[in-house]
Amino acid sequence: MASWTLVGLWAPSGVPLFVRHTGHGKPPPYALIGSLNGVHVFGESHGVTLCTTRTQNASLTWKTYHDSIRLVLVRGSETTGDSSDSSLLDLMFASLVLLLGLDTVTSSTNIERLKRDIRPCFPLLDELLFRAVGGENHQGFSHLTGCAECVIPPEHHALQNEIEKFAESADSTYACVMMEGQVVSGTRNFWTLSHTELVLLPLLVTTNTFTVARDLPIYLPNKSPNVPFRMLVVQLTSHVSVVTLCGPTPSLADMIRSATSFWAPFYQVLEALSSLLPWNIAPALLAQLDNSVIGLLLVNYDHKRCVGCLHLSEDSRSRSLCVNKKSAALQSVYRSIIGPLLQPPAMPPEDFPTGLHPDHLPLESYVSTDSYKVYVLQSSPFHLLVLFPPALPIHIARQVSKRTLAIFTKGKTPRL
Amino acid sequence: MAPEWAIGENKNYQQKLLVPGTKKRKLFGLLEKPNLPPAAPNVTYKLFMFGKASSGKTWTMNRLSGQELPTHHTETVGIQCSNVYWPMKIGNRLILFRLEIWDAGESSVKRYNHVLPACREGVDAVLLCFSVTDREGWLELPRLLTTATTPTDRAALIVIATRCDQYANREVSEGELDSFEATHGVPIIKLGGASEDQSDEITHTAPILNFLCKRLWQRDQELLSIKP
Ligand SMILES: Nc1nc2c(ncn2[C@@H]2O[C@H](COP(=O)(O)OP(=O)(O)O)[C@@H](O)[C@H]2O)c(=O)[nH]1
Ligand SMILES: [Mg+2]
Repeated sequence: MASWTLVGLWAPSGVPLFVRHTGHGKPPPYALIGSLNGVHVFGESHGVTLCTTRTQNASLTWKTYHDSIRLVLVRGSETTGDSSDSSLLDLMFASLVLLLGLDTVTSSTNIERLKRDIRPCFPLLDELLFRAVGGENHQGFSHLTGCAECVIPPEHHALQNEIEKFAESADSTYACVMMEGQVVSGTRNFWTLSHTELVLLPLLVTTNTFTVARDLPIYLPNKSPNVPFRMLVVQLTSHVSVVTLCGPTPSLADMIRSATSFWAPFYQVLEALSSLLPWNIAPALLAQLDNSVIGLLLVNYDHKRCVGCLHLSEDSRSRSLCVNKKSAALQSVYRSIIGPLLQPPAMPPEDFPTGLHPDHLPLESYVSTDSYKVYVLQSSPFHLLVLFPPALPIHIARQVSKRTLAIFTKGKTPRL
Repeated sequence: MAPEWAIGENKNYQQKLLVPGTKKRKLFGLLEKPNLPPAAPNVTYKLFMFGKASSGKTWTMNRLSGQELPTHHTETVGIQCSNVYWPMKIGNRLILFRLEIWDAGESSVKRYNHVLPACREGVDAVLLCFSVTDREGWLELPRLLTTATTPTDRAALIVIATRCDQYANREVSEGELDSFEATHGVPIIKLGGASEDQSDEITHTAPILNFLCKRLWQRDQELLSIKP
């Protein structure tokens, strides 16, 4: 297993603010952290910005935000860094802003206080690291896709109307129903939140699943970096919660009362949602999937949503691949194909054709290894990654992938 | 004066608090509650966790609600509430207690002025936490005791001594706890480690929940008898 380390430094002075480490081994010693910053500063003094480098057994990425916070990501036992490392750092910096506000993070005059202030951000930073490293029970793709992790419910519109009404009753326009960290249904305005916000808000909800109601003061890293909102999270059933972004009212006690009476008539509908777990898609869609499909990731960049299915065909062929491995396979293919070859929002990179074919637009790709095959389709605004057993011939994988895309996108309104 | 407490710690009813087929306590959503005989009346109380940073407020709340305990300290963000259901026989009547426990993080209390009032509003009991491994916190306790409740809320006050399982680091003796109870007239609940055997969690926590529910019920009777 790989190890990932995140180091935060106060850029003007180089003072380390925090270190988060996950995976095997120990975090780098203090002296090394100092040198990590030193290398970067050396470059700066020569008019060079050091972004990323590789050593024999690690890849490193530096990024400085607002001339104040410098984050360094060290990926041990991996020597291939990629563009997703840099966007992971962006999410990590946004996590600090989410809980502290941009001014507190970037204009601190008291470094000791800033160190203390940052501590409550650790669960969120750790969750991002766990996901990136592919830790058990930390599956998810939103940190890669930049889109909200979703489930596709059967009766989408029944909840759609209710969540709009509920938000209105709470003097808010941003609200969503969530199940186990995944968005089931959101208000129209909820989907106007930025990519970063749609990734981080659900993650923040999942960092604490023991409680029945929460009032979390948060900043929206893009929409409102300096004026806080109150994120009210109430757990309606053991699996389903409703999340509302509010101003000074209603109080948490009022929210508990109103959510209880508002949602009580929908108890059966909400409870039935748990039958989507662990597949994440409606039974009608599930039934149409080919038996050879053992996992998939579908992203709709226009709607800022993605859905990952890892529990497919579990009984039959795929016994060799556990959920964790499936997740790792899809993540690894996403990182190596999306970005270098295809780019969100489901377009080839601007600089792609130069030097290759002037009129060559890649639309499909695949990765084949000893333990799996992944077929990748691009059809704006979608990216679809389909995971197959290694033995499946590639031309069949291609056909099945195309049919799979059609299952989700045919009809008047796409299912994601 | 004091009523006879015929407390039936009925194991059958405690079973209803668990995830079926496990010994793990179920997390009941707002729209759910344990499946008890419908005739059993429900009573709800609001409890507020009070005490200095890192004194074990969140730990105590998670212990009472039977949820996973964090392995390392993370500061609580904002306000969090847990519902703890507890069936108990009082006299010969089965009553389902719902303890709504409110807990807040220190820096949120400092930065946002709605946090503390929201926690204190309509509170029935304050659980004042301190750690027996922190001498300084112990010396501060009498002062905290006076600010824990306000005369108007008439809240029951219960002190929770946390980290009683950390013998090596202990800085407050049993004797000191006893004399504190006597001089200040407040009960102290001693919270040791969670039982190693997770399957035993509910038996481990039961005496504390019995004590809290009894105390709250008693307070109700006292308040009722004061009212004209
Ligand atoms: N072993 C043990 N550890 C405790 C106990 N109470 C608190 N702790 C530890 O102290 C840390 C801080 O407690 P926490 O509840 O987060 O403090 P809070 O800031 O008051 O909410 C927890 O993460 C626990 O590891 C206890 O009774 N026994
Ligand atoms: Mg706490």
